[in-house]
Amino acid sequence: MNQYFHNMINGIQTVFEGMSITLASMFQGPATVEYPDVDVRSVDSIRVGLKGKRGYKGNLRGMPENYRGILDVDMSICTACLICMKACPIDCIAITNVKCDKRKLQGKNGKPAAQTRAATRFDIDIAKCMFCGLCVEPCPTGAIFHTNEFEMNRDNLEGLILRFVAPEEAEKASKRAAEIAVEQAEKKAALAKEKAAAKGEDS
Amino acid sequence: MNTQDAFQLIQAKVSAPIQLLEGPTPSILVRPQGLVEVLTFAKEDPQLDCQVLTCQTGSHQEDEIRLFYHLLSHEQNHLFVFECPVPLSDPKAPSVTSLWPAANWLERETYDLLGVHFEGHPDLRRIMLPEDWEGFPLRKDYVTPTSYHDSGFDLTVDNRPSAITQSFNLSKGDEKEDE
Amino acid sequence: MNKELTTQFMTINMGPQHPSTHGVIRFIIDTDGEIIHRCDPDIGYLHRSIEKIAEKVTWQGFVPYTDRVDYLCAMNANWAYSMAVEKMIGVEAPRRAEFIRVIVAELNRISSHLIAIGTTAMDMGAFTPFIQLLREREYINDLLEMASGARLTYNYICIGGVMADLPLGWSEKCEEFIHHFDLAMEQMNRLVTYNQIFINRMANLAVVSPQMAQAYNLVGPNLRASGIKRDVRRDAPYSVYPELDFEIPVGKGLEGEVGDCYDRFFVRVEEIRESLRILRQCLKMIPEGEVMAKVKKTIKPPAGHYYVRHETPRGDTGYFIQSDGTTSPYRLKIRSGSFTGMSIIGELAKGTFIADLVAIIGSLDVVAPELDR
Ligand code: SF4
Ligand code: SF4
Repeated sequence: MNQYFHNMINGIQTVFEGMSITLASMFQGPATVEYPDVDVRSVDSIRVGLKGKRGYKGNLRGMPENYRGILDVDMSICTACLICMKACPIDCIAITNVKCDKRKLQGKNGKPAAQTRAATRFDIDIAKCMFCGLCVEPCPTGAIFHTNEFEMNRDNLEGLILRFVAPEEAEKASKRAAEIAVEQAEKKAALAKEKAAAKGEDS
Repeated sequence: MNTQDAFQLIQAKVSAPIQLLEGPTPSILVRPQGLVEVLTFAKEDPQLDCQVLTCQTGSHQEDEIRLFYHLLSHEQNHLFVFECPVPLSDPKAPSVTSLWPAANWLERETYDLLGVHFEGHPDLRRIMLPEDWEGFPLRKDYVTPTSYHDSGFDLTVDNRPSAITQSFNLSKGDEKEDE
Repeated sequence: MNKELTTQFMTINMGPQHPSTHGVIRFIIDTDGEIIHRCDPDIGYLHRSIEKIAEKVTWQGFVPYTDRVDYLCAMNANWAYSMAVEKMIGVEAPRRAEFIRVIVAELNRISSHLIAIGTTAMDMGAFTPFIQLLREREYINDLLEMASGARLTYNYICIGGVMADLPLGWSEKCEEFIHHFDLAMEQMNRLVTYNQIFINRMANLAVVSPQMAQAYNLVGPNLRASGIKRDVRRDAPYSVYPELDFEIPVGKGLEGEVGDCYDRFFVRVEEIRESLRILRQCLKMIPEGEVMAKVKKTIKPPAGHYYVRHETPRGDTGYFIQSDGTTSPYRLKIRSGSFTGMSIIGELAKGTFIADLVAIIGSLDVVAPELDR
């Protein structure tokens, strides 16, 4: 009998204790922000979004610097080396390249690199991409990188393919490649001729 | 206790032929005929005391499917691996569900994905794939189907625009040639 | 007379879309009135053939897939796989990387247990704790996002170390969080754990004896709740765990028999406390230095098979990997805690009420993607 009442009292007590906690959190203010109205990328706008209340208490306000969003490529330092394409586990990068004039450049990490090939196509299908960062890590120049962008609403599927090489540039590169091929062939022929001539002199 | 000691112990006590396999993880090879006998001994011997069948799986190797049994003892804190080759032409192995109820689902999974028949299993059905699935996906000679029965579902549909799909095939092909 | 009284079993279908099955799982239940006569879990709705995919991708390329095996503790899954490959190729991660791994994995363990606790309470009909715990979990997500750059599928721990060093000021923020979380957890306990109604609901329900737990191969908190003190972090120690001081909580039958639903619940609450303890120690002990060992770009582990055990929030997760010396795994099998945890439900649910079934599922902490892989 005693136990029976004890249980009852205990039950009511603990329920009220829980209720007090629930009630207390009513006055805490929201822990979330209303996303489209607030620019979640910046620290200040989140505070404004919460209208000066105690606000978002998390450790982080806004987005971290290393956020892994949609990929971007800096074509001016990309050497079209295909390393990123091979690293991607789901094949969502497509690169084709042709020979180009040799060019020395400086990567983002300060390391020098040499470009011997130019990309005629550099497409990333962000509809397939899982933002894993495996392509970013091995890139020798740091040309490919994640941005803070995460909104991917496009009105058609085609829009989800990022093309980093404009058709004109691609054409230019291919033309130049053809020229280079011709030049090299000429050079080779000239070299061969010289050699033959040298041989002829020897004998 | 390491695998060598366990091997000697089992060899002394059990009549079924066993074999010690060296490698990065030493293991004990048992023929399907002696499997239940050896595993029962491993479970009931106080020195081995393998109360837990922690993992049961298999892998397809040329003309056989090799089953792996990982036995764990919580008391002694040791883990042994038993291998059991079954021929691909007639993949049959005795079930160990009577020893460990946990084997029920693990064997069903092996049956589902590798097509090994466990004789004496109380409820050998597919577990992951639909009941009417054809073939065993984890076998190396499995051909990925292009449709699911006649549901009109084309499993090869790729939502990549065709130009890109082609470029992939091309570029990957080139790369292979280069290497 | 007797013939008239016999009733027919009614077969009902619970799921695949059911709010309390925690994912897409279906239960076929034969009921006699309110009592379950037979319960047959039907799984496979989330089978993504990850094991088959593994045979097609490179060793490094599989790491992001392990995120998807168990999305509640992606760090632990990353680590388990990376550890297995490191063992195969004989690489050791630098000391700082090991500490970072422990820290992020324990944070992830806390967040996973928070979900386990919250959903159990939610299945019992208490929605508030779930929302409150999600709020706390958000802070952990923020911390992990700062470190890795992603919120759920981190791909942070990689073969040979971790992807990037912790950002500046991270440790302070983590300490701040631990301080805040201690109080929040106390509040949480007052809200759910010590609630008499909740205790009465969970105590003495679906008791798993130690023998049964072993026979059905339960792992992790579910095994420990049955009174078996086994934890891979202690039994087969890896990383820097041997240097850390922490307890392994076991079920003591606080409110009923050892191994009931309340014990399974309480072991998780206790484990959160231990994780906080580990975090405190690690933040003090973490050395400076490199975070990435030298690993070749193309990994080709020697041929042979390996089995690596790792303690994730759902217990002893085993990665069975067979290599044939090429650039991708020959066979990879993930032995997950949810899979064997689920196989016991048919046995446990016999003779319980339908309403108790959700409590049993919740207390076993089954995660559907890990179950099906
Ligand atoms: S790895 Fe870097 S440099 Fe090479 S192709 Fe990719 S983006 Fe360009
Ligand atoms: S982020 Fe991952 S999935 Fe996306 S392109 Fe890079 S490697 Fe591929």
